[in-house]
Amino acid sequence: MKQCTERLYNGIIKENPTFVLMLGMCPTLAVTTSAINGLGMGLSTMVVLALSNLLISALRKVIPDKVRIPAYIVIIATFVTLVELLLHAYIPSLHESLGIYISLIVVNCIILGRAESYASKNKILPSLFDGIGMGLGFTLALTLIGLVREFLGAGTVFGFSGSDIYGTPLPELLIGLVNKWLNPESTSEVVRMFNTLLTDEIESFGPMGIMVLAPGAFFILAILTAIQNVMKEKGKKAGKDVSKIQSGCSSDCMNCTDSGCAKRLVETDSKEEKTADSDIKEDSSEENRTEVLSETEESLEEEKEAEAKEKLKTEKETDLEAEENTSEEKDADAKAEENLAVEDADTDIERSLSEEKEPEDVKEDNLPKEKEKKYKMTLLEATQEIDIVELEELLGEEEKEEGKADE
Amino acid sequence: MKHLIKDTLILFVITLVAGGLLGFVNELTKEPIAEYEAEKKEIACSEVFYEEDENGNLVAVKDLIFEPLTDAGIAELNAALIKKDLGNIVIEEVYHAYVAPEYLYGYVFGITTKEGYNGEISFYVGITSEGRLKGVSLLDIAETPGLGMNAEDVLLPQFRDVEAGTFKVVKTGAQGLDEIDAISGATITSEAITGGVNAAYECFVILQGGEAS
Repeated sequence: MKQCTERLYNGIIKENPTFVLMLGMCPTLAVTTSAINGLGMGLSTMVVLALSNLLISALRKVIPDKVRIPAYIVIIATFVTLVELLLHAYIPSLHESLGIYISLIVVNCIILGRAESYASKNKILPSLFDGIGMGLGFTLALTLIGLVREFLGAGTVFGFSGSDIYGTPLPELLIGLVNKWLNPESTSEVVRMFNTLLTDEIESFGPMGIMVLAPGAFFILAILTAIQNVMKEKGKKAGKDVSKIQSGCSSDCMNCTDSGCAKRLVETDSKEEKTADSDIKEDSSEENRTEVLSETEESLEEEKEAEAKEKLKTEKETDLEAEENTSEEKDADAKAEENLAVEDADTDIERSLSEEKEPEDVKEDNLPKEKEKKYKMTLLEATQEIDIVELEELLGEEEKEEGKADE
Repeated sequence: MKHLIKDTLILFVITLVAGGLLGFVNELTKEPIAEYEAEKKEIACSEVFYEEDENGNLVAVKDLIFEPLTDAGIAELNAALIKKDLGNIVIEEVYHAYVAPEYLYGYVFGITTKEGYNGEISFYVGITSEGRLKGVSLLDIAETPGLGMNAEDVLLPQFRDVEAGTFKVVKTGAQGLDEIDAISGATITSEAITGGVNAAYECFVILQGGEAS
């Protein structure tokens, strides 16, 4: 039960799909022309998300790995069509205002992403609550954005215009309140000027129509992203783990290395690590491994600073597979890919760090692979707060060995 | 090879179950959806003959009985439209509106024009047998919100209770009786709807026995 409430909290606050992960931006922009539209869309998405998470989690042992994407899409598309038919029949007004965007829930990144990263690896009940949590977070975000856009763009809140009860539209009411607070009789020149500005200029304009059109959506999105960037910078300076913020999509669409949004959302409670994805990624990772070797030496100091961050990353990796070369390679690749979540230069170090090896590996021969393992091993030990002296000893040994190999 | 068969089989079973479920819900919701659509149509249909009361609200004035035109009749009208180079406007339905069994009040034309900005626009046009355009009511419109979607507020009032004829869309302020003010920033939508209304007038002339102009 605790895990379920944790899933809810995660989806609504800690990893809110819109405000933190930045997933599903397209329907967010398109549907939030009014608060009620945002609410309706959010709830429909939540239903689809919860149901598809439930079913995919129930079938997770049955669906073979190679056909999982088509299977997920069939399941998600079925649920979306069901929701659309039911809405059309029983809540036609909502169906008309959402229109084509109901059908577009199928391609909402959030659903496929959570299916791939959470539901396919966890039990039924937590998956269900994960879906509900993410859906609620999405709904909350959409409703808030819709409220802002509707109020600025049409002067109404949930369709309620204020003229109906108070006789004056809501924005003017608010301006009136601010007026009272600012006291037009005040002696301060600035306050009086601001007051006249409010009453004479702004009140007479009426609502900003552009806010309910596409440009308004982008304005809001820009402000949202700016706030996220600020939070990210602050978080980095304070040393917190900010890798989840904006991790929905890598910032560079041109060189997208995501292969589907799912890459960003890896989070598993189980001990097993799925290395299936590594089959696709082997080629790109090969080049990266040579980089890793050279860069680990130079950037040791940076690692020590970022220890806390590394710790959190390694806690998530728990792979203790055999020592065959091929499986090791796959591991390196799989983990290398998963750690793309961090966007700054430390990426390379973290890739090497993520690989956990048994301490026995240190004593094996000097094949290039073993050396690499040693590097990674020592860095890993650093994050596990082993004595720094020991660390330096190990590094000293390796440099000697390298010197020998060069000769 | 074996796992290829196994994968295929599992995928097949999943899609089979999904298909069955979809079919079931489709059957379940067919009726409510059909009812809703029929109701929408009826309301849009009768709205064309509403008139404004003292408060400015549109209310039904006459109790009308609608009799549809035969399919053959509708096909004739559509053929005539194509001959006049108005092939993009399709007459979907035509109703004779009777107040009393023998007294024809007017006609309602259900029109779909393909010349909308974002696709098709469907609406009803009501013309009395005396040649008075009583009103236009929209059934299906999906134009740009804030621009074409303002058709309801900007265009429709101009079509209420005016002399039927061929209308022209102007952007700089309508002066003549046959000029229609375009929606600012949405000329295409304005012309699409006005074109449909004009086509309805042509059909009205044909039905009244006039010659095709």
